[in-house]
Amino acid sequence: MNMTKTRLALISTVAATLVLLTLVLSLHVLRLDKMIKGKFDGKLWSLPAEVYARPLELYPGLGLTPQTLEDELELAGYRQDSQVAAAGAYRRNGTTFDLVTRDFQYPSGLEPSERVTVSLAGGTVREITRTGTSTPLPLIRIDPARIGSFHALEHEGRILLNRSELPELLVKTLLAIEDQNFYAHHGIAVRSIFRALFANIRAGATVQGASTLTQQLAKNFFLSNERTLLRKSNEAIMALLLEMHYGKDDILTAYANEIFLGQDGGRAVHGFGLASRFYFRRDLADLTADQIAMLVGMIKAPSAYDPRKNPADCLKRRAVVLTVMREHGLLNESQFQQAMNEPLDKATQVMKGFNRFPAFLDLVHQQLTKEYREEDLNGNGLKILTTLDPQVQWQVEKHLDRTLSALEQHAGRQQLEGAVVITNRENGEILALAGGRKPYAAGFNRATHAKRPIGSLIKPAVYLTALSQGYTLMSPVQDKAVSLKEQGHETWRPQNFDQKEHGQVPLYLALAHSYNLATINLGLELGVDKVIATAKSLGLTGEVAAYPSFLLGTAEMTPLEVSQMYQTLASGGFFQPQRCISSVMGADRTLLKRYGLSVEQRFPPEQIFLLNTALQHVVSEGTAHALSRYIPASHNLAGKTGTTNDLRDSWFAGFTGDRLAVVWIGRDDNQPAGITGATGALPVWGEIMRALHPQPLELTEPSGIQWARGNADSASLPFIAGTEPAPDSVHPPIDMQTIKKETNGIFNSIRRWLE
Amino acid sequence: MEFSTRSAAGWNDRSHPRSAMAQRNGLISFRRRPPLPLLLLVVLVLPSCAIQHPVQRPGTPVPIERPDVPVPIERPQVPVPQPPAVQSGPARSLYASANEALASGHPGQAEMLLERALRIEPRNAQYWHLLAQSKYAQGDFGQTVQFCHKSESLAGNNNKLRQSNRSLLQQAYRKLGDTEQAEKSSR
Repeated sequence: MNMTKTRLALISTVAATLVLLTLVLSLHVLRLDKMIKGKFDGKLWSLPAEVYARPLELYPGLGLTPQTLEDELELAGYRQDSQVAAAGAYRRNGTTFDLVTRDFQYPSGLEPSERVTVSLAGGTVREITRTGTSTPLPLIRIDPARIGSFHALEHEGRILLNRSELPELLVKTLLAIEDQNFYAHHGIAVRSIFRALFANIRAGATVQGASTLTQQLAKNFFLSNERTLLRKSNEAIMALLLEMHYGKDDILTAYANEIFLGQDGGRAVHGFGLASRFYFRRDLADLTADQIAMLVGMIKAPSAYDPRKNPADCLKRRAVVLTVMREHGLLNESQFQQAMNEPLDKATQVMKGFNRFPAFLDLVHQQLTKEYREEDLNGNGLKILTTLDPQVQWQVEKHLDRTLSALEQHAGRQQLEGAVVITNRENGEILALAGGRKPYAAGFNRATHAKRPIGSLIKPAVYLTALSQGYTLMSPVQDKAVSLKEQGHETWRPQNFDQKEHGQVPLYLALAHSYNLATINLGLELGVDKVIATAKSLGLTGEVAAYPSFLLGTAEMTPLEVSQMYQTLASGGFFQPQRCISSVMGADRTLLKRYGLSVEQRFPPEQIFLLNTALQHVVSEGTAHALSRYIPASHNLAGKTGTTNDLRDSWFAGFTGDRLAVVWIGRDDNQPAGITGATGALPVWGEIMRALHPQPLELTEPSGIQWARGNADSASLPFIAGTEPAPDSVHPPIDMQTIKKETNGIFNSIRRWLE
Repeated sequence: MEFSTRSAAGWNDRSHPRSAMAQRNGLISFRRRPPLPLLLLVVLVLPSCAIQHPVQRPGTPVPIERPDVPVPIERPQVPVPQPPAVQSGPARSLYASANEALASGHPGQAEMLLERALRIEPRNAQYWHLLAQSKYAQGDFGQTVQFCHKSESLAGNNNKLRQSNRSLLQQAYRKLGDTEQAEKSSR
């Protein structure tokens, strides 16, 4: 009895334990099941937003050297190919290029792939034809370079493919190597473990793995790298669950998009799509057998078989895979031999340009986060078409650092930093941006975040206010000492840079020579609030206190904000929001948002014409005279230098016929940098713009402008009709004495008011 | 033995590319492989939840904004005098396409073509004028006015174009209810 009792107790204990165990396990499995569904049905792959440069437009007459075209093509991921066989291939023959563009979905529609021949001569595009024909093409555009991505997970990029985009040879090779029984098993395959063991022993090397693709996927998707019994069992359960819930093709596709295939600097290369771009600069569909073999071989140990780091091991591994391909009838003997003989060299060129422009990408990101939630931005595969012009960006990066290094050769100039913003003169598109002299170092973006006093860069706002109040370029201005008492401040006695007074000077020369005293006197006469209103119409944002010191540029602005203000001058008095994004498309390439052109005329064209003419005098005879060392005086460029107290900030803002550029140079610790606008920012501006072969600046003259000489020594200047000096006042010079008396009266009253 | 090392190395490499250390002890995990029958049993015990979930492609839950929304096309009541045809310039083919798009009732398309043309020839007053027309057709009279001004500021002595600008400007101001400006622009 006792025995039976004991037995019963034992049985019931065992049964209870079993039930309990089953219950616990069931709960655990349910938890895993929920997890799987959450992952797979929710965000299986968090798709990074992809950022593109502007597409390169090619047309006869465009200034372009063969080297620059080649650089553009390389950046856009084109590959040299003597056959020019498929989309994304090019062949350079001296100054002639044959290339096959890739399909690209623009907001305006699909631009299909095209075979074209581009011939260049003398630094310009001479002719574009359809390859093999003499049909001339007036204009083509090259699909834009992918310059970066925003990803929720750190440093990951992906090119997501669907099942139909996976080449059959790749799928068959993958299954032959990693999981021969894929279509037969239920997630885990006992037999394949043994088969793999035998195959490996037979081959004397590791040719087959034991984990099914599903297990590998489960592991990669869901589990950390800890290696315990629990993890292995979880992995197996998950594999079974995955197979229960999802079809083979879904699992295979997920695997192909998830598989880790190497490192690109700090970024993990996941998925065959991205790996194909990364190693071979081509789409997965275009890969040859040897390239497929290399990628599939790398799954085993991506860093050990990295073609760039360990080419010999990579080749050996590829040979193993190719042999298996032959055994499985995927390659015939001659194909096998050909593939075996292919060198690895194509895989050894690093793909250029990925996340290479961190400052610009940072700007794009800043713009987008104003409109999108972070998770939508990072996870939904948005396609972001930007305005970045790589040619301009390259020159900015090259010359900023180089010129700063040259400047630092002089004593007292150390630790110089800089920022540059270049935009299209007429449409306000931001073409290039440097946030510091080391372009690849992501970090503090000075172009968008360093707020510094802008010094004399504010002066055009003063003089434009004067022109709007009826002053002419010849109106006399008093460059005389002034002392101002602002409440709660010391008495302020501003000085000229040369610490001299220049007496009465014509308005345009006061601007050209950047006289502080003349500007203060003029600004006080006009009213500081009026000047601030002008600055706001130009694009100044935020509130500024109406202190007279505003007239000398105590307002702190970032280079980007300065650029927005000068954009209004450069484009003839039309304000337009500067843009770095042209459109945003969804993962399915539908247009989500376009950032189109919009303009707003804020100043009469005549006043802007007069002011811009004065800004040309800054370059031809004023503080920016040194610019002629870089760009011929005949280009008639317009610009303004800026320097702040103790030479802490050096600015130059100016425009050519085609572009506006703003340069800031200074130190991060805000210590004196030992340079003026003319000796620091100007040379950087000059070097960059020279390299870009600028167009001469031709200001369109509005109707109703009269040209006249203000006096015997002055240049011929434009006047709004009716304001030009009477012919008899030209000789002798205008009666300054009377004007002086009148204006002195106003000055005195203002001074009294200020004191 | 070979394969266990292989798999572990492969896995490690996949998830932690830089961790070479972890590549070594591959054997352990395979020696401890859990009993499969038990796992299968567990899975069978599972409630029958084998519902097929379609793989969901990442969606884009962001509001869609299209430039070419089907708004009724606005046409100037008084035909705007045709500016002279563009014969030269690298973007002339785009200008021609924009003209066609506008004529066939696709002002949004025309707008995109013209923006592209202006990227190539930013100071072509005629392109700016056609852009004004494409804005008019979309009912954006404020921008019509602005683009007319922009065209005007670059027109130089192209009198025919100036006339077109004035005519369009006048009609846009009328649409905006600004008769005073409309009167002014006709002069």
